[in-house]
Amino acid sequence: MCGLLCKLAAWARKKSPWIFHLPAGGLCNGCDIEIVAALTPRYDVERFGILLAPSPKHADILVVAGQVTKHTKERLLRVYQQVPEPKAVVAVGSCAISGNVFGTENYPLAGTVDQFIPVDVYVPGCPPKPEAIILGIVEAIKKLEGETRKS
Amino acid sequence: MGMCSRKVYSVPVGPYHPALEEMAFYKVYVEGERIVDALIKPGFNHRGIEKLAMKRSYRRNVQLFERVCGICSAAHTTAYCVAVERCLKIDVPKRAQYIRAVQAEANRIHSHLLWFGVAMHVIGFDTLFMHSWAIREDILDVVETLTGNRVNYSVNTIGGVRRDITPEMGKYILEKLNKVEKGTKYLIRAVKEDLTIKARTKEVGVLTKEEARKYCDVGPTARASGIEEDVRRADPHINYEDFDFEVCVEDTCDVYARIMVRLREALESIKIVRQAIKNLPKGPLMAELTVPRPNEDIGRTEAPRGELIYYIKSNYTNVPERVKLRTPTFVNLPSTKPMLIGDKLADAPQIIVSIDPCLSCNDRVIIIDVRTGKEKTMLLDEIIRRKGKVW
Amino acid sequence: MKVNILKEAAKYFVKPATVPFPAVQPHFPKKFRGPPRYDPETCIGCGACAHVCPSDAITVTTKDGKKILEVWFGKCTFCARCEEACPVDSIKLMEIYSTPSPNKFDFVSRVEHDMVKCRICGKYFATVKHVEWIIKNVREKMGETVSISELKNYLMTCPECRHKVENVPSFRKLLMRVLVKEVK
Repeated sequence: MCGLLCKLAAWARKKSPWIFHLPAGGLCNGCDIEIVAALTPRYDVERFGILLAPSPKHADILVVAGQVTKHTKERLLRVYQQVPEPKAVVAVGSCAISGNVFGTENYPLAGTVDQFIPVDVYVPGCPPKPEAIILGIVEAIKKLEGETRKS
Repeated sequence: MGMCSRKVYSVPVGPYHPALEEMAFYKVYVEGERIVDALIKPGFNHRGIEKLAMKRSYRRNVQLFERVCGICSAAHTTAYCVAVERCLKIDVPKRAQYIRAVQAEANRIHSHLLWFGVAMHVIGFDTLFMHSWAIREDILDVVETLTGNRVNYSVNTIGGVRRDITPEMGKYILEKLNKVEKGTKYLIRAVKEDLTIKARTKEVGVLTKEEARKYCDVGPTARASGIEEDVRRADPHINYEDFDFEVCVEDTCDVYARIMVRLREALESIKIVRQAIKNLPKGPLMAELTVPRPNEDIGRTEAPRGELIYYIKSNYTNVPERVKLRTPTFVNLPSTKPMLIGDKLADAPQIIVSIDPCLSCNDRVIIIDVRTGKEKTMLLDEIIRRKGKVW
Repeated sequence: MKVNILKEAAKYFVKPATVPFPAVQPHFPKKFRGPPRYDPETCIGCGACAHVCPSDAITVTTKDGKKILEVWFGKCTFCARCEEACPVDSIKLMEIYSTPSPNKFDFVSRVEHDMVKCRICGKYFATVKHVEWIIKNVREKMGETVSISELKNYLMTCPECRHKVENVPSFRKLLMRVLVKEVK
């Protein structure tokens, strides 16, 4: 019985992953608006079943933009812990990958996203085009699929 | 039941909240359904940009200031470049100024449509959110052809611009603008006719003219409260005196007025872009640069959210000695408090959104409101009474 | 009002606003700013790109007689200033979007150059291609007034040793000739 339910859950997860959009701090909003643009008519990721979840507790994929500031560090960790297993993290934009123009040595900045939470897919760009973000989420789905199989 | 027995509850909103696009912490004090006080704590997005700017050369700083805010990136670079050019006494060629005006206005259209979408999303009207963002894609196509990127334009530089507008490009832009104009007019019609929008926005979040003056509001927020002020008129930094446009003012002072001001402004911006492309003067794109001397100056521009000021102090090096920014959200954000007080909790998101808070712009300074705002029931009741609203 | 709603509904059946993205690749305008790539054929290894880069995404490292220029577009701002600064149009921003990857160090374009040793102190200081490029350019400008061997003598010397140019009579002669030519 459990096996069947697990299979159903895995199928549903693959068909309709829910994403939670998390601006991590040191960013310019460029990536945020591009993530939202991916949801709007021109790109419309909902046709793939990808949905923006209002709470991290409902999400499968965490989309993080921007690097981590000292203010948001704890909240980022808390949000990450609230996402149920199996989960995947997509880091969107140059800031999330490396800090971009802001660097990593400046006083309010704590570091890049992968120093605090494990990141599965990186999407480079400043900001990345919505197409690239969609591809990044697809990569994350593949990772989720693999993880469910293992469990 | 006496006034004192009413209990004040505090409702924390944020820093990650579905109604907020960016992270900011609001503590809203409610009495029943009505908001009696609010505490705002921004600062989650503080990146220390001013400190960074003091380590980099003038040219490299352009890319840094562009990333103060991704939504009004053109406004930030324009204001920075204007400030540096005034400080170093560089005369920018007219063609470059016109190209700057084109991208600044395209930026404004995109920002206002984006804001309109978010505002509609917040009041729960997702159809118009989708419509407005679909229209916005057309203006982003314009921006992409003009600059090569959808968000960060990277066209402005000290002394001029880096990209030219070719005649084919101009034709394409005008074609796309017709589409955008049609779409924006459609949105205006929708706002004027739709009863749901009126019910959720009329007489909500009222900021009277006196209060707007008191809180020194700028930009569309001030214009929606009946204050006619626009940096494009007052200080035509990038040849705005050549263009014929109207400063949109509404006097109902509520969220509805702010929606109308922004949508009408988008139409005015389309007018400006058309004029600029039509009368694009011939000439070079870059001025000759001068050697930095000790000096100081400010540059300001009308960003989509209001007046944006850059202050530059130069010395003999190619690195600015001090750069100071004052962003429009910094001035407008405190005025959400008088808007919030006396309104219902359910209206809080659209009131906060109505000033178009760009916290990534704002969070260069960490402001912590030291007011505790505890059980001040009597005082707050007085505030409500003064607002003339019956509870 | 109802007619309007029907009209709107009909429009969306006829013309979808959505682009069929994975099936159809997106349209890129001319001079779209995508990820930067080096062309190893034309790059001379001067390092001008690293000098202007606003986010220090381009790094120049010298190791064991090799000069490695590396652009990590995980840190790039996609501003195209390197493209502007490049004297030989070697670094170019591709007109594509950058594809995501699970490894953040995949986003690298690098180019390696052999270096030349200083004739006097024996230190590695510039790439072979850079010196050749300078010689070519100087010859183009100056014509036959300077011979290649003379120029090579001068350019194969590292900047520190070149500062002692006053002590090397042949250099002084060469520089004087170039200056005279320029004045003319």
